Formats: sequence, C-alpha cells, structure tokens
Amino acid sequence: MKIKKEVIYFLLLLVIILPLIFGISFKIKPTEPVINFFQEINSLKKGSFIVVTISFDPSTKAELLPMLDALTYHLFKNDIIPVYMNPLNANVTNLGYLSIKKIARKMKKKENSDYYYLGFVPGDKSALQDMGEDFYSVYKKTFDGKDLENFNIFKNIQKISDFSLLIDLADGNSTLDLLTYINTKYGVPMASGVTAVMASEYYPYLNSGQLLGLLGGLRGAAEYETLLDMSAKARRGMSAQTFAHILIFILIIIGNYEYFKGKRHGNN
Amino acid sequence: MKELIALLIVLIGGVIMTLQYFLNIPVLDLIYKNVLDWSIVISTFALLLAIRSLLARQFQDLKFKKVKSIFPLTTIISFFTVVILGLIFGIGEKTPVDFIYQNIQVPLQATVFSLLAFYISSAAYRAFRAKNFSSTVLLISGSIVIIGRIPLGDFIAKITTLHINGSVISLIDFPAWTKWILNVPNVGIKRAFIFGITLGIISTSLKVIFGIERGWLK
Repeated sequence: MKIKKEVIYFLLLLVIILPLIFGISFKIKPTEPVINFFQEINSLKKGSFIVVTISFDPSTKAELLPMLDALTYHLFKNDIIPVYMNPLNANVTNLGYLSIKKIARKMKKKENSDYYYLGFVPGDKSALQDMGEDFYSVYKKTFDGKDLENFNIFKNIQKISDFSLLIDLADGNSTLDLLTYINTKYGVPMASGVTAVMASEYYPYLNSGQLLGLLGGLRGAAEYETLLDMSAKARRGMSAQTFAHILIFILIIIGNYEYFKGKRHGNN
Repeated sequence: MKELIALLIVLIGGVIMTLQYFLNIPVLDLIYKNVLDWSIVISTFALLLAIRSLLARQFQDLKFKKVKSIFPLTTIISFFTVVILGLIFGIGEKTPVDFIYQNIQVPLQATVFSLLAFYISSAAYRAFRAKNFSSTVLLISGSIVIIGRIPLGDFIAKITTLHINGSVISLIDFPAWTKWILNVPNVGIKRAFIFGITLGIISTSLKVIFGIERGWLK
C-alpha cells in the first residue's frame, strides 16, 4: 500500500505545528564550528569594529534571521561595534535593519554609535573588491543618510582590512565571493552563517582555516543560542525541525521497505 | 579590424589585471581601482537595463495577450507602486514601502520557500531508494546526517554510551558519524571539485585573454 502524498503533507504539517504549539524544546549540543564561531566573537576586545554582511532573502529568514538576532545579541552584549551592510543583496535591507533595531532598542544600544547600518550598494563583486582598496569609494553614508566621515570611529578605517573580523550571513554564494575577494586577497579574518543545505559546501574552507567558524542552518543558530544561554527563535524552531527529520527518516524506511517488498514480488 | 581592437582590449586588460594581483606596482593598482569604479557604474546602469527589459517584456505580454493579462498587470502595477512610494516616502522604517515589504513580500517569499519541505518529504518517500550501490551509499549517508543534525542523534549517542576501562565509547553515535561524513568524504570531494573548477576557469580565462577562445565575440 502506497502512502498518498496528501497524507505525507498532512503528517508533515502536524509534526511541524504541534511542537511549536506545545513549546517542546530539546537540549542542543553545540558542535565544533559553532563553538569556534562563538569563541572568535568572545576573543574580540571591547569596542572592536567588525563588519557583518547580510546576504539573504526573506525566503530563508526562518534559518538566517535567528542567526542574525543571536549574533547581534552577542555582539551588543560584548560591546563590539558591528557595521552591518548588504552589498550583495538588496532584498534584505528592511528585514535586517528592523531586526537589528529591535534588539538594539531592547539592549539600549544606539544607532550610529554602538552599531552602524550601511545598507545596499550596487556593484556586486566589484563593490567588494573596491572596499578592499578604498572603503569610502563604496560606502559614504549610513543607511539613514549620515556621512561616515562625521563619525570618529571611521577615521581609523581606510580599507575593509582595517576591520577586525568579517561575518557573512548568507543563502547564496556570497560567502565564497567574500572568501575570494576579501579574505584571501586582503587577509580579513572571516566567519560565516549559512543555510543548512549550503553548510557542507563550506567545510573545505573551515578545514583550511579560511573560515574561523561556521553556523549551519537552524541547527547552527540553535547551537549558538545554547552557547549564549538564550532560548529564542532557533531553539523553538529546532523542535519542529527535529520531528520533521524523524518523519522524513521514517518515510525513507517505509519507502524502501515497499520497494524491496515489491521487488520480491516482481513489481519493480 | 573591430575584432582585432576587441581582442587587444581583452589582452591588455587581462594581462594588467593578472599582473596587478601579483605585483606591487602603483600604476597597476591605480588602473585596477579605476576599473573597479567603472564596473560599479556599469552595474548600476545594468540595473536600469534590467528594469527596461522587465517592463518591455511585461508590456509585450499585455499587448499580445501571450499570458493572462493579470500576471503582467500585477508586475507592472507592483513595480510602479513600490518605485513611486519609495521615491516619495523613502524606504526606512514605517514607510509604505516597508509596510509592503514586511506584509506582502516577506510572507510570500517565506511561504513559497517553505513549501519545499512538503516536496522534499514526499520525494524522500518516493525516490530515496537503495536501487544500486551508489544510491545505497547516498541513502545511508543522507539518513545518518538527517538524524545526526537533530537532538535525537545526541540522545541516541548518550543512551548507547559505554564506559570501558576509563574510555567512553558510544555505540550508535550519529553526530560523530555526521561529523566524519562532513569532514572527510565531503571535504575531499568538494576540494576535488573546487580544484577542477578553478583549473577550468584559469584555462578558459587564458584562452580568452590570448584570443584562442573567441566565442564571446559573436
């Protein structure tokens, strides 16, 4: 007997919705790439100036927005000054900006002194390379229109290599572009947070030391929240993901059982 | 003659761009910086070209009724609404564009992408089968990663842990197996791919720079 796809869809809906309704949560054990990411942030001195590039669409916000939130919380908690920008994706400006503002309000951090948001500039990879030569040829103003030259902290910044760390949160190839054009060429230390399906792509860069840490998908975000001792979107979402994975695993077993049963009876 | 000029531009440009990466010569750096500035300007104009192309296509569809009128109309109205509202009120917090973005675009994009989970679960049941050796390896490694990436994997590892002569061994350790799959076979194969692709890019670039590959001229 074959399971109808409508039944599969309904079961998946149930295993996703019910854990979220009942608030089921699990203990998440942090893995090495996430611990390295976390320690890298902890190793930065207070007042360090770092770049966070937000390179994802609303389509992957379920995985990457919890990462941005947890990272922002961590940076603010450690008094590190992030410069957020999205040079490789115009579509995220409002999503990222508002999310950061919300956390900043909660933690009493001020825009344009405790953090900066620069938004989008056209140019794609050329803009990245240009930042390596002259940061101000790409960004001159903050997202809310203030001149960067008016801020004292930017006086020490000429190129992107003057920042202590570069973090990319991505659902596309931006991490690879940043590794190629910024990390390799200008030597800026780099860490990244990517969607779960993309995480395996970046293990070679993690092993080579080009990436100092890696957050992979919702699980990566949940591990980061665990290290921060907070339970927010990612850890709540992991309960739904856990049951969805179990259902898919069971479906694979049933599918194979039916396949071999059919094969024995000469149906396949 | 035209072809020769184009080939010369590519040759000189390609050689200069390659040399500036390896040599520290101020003139080459200056040229490189200028080229980067140009490409930013060109990509800005490319956006305008993309807009023109999008609208031209939509108006064409509307005129010749190639598809139902509702689709090009929706695109055209949405485009002009967002552009006009953005130009008048800006795109910051609590602006009409922000309202449209947060309440239409974000839920729509998130919903469409979320539907993938339903297709994946159905596909896993129908297609993820041990039909031959390769698909069996894929099936086993995929299943290990599915369980290894959720807390159930940690739980199974914990309850199957044995303490033998002071050392701790877990009999069914999905997270450790997942780590091995990601760090060993995955990294090895990905590295081979990266080297292969990079060598391909280098050889194609050299062919274009030295005028051996001229397909781009047509």
